[in-house]
Amino acid sequence: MALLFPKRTKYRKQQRKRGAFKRKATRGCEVAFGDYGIQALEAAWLTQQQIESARTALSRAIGRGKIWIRIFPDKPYTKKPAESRMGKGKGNVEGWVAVVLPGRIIFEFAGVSPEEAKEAHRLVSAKLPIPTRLKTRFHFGGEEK
Amino acid sequence: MRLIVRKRSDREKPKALRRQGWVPAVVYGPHLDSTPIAVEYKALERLIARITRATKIELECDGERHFVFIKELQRDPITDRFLHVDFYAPEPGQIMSLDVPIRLVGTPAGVKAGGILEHIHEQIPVEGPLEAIPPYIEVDITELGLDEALLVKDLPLPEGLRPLLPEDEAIVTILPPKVLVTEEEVAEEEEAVAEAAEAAPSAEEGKEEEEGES
Repeated sequence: MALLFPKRTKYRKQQRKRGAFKRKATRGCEVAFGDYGIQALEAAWLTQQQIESARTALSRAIGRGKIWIRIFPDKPYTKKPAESRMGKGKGNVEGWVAVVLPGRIIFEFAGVSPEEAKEAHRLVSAKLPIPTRLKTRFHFGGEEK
Repeated sequence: MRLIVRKRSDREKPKALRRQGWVPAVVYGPHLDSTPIAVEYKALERLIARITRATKIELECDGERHFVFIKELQRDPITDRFLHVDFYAPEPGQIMSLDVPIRLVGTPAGVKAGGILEHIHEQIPVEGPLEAIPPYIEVDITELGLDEALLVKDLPLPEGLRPLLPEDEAIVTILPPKVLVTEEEVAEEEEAVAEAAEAAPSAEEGKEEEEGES
């Protein structure tokens, strides 16, 4: 799978949005598709490379299970060339990131045992720049399998 | 299932309530104005551990009794603690639409053959009279084989209930196992193809030679 980024955007560059990290996620916080989810515990910009690297690790860890990616890197970030002086406008688009807030489910997966899920989470968390936790799908007590 | 709650005034702040071991909640219905209440956290936890989302609960509030369903349950995304509950008190005989969980029984034959069980809809939205709504729908899936699916029309719904999903929608599917191909295997396959390609022209040459001799 190639790196994720939008097919087309209305504007090439975006502002960073200072203060966006000062809150918890309110959407995408529950495991909605699979049996397990990997949940962010801190805020971060996850780059397309980090997402792909973690996805590959998860895919190899769970083998024949199914994976859902719950985030998408739709925010471009820019960088000025090395040794260039300040000014002369905003830098060039360097890559794409997904803004992840605490509580956000990053990946979901299904078709593995609890032990395999725990090991998969360990391997995936090594590829991510923030602490994460393994979250199981919420069920009422009478709905447990 | 019974739950004892108390009324709360608008002046009680939800955060303070939670600190004291209560969960702010609200109960409302067609014949009941929205009433703010508070539930003891431990009692709510015990109740949630025993019910499904379609279980009818007897709510006792300062001497009044209401039969209610949990309409919405808010949880903290990180700590998973209950933050707020919405109880809905329907009128007797009211036609309701709500999600009823599906309980799967048995191990499908397809899973024994190495397939992966995908439970697409863990609950199904249904519509029907209040009295006909069961706490869950139990369905036997032992005969499901590889690449087979349990559809909405196969569900044993109680009389009077109508599913709000299309009849052909799959509830459970048994996916065939995905075969992981490693780089070594790919390299081996490529080698085998290359060898076969090399061997093929030589065999043809051999044939031509044989034909020439005859």
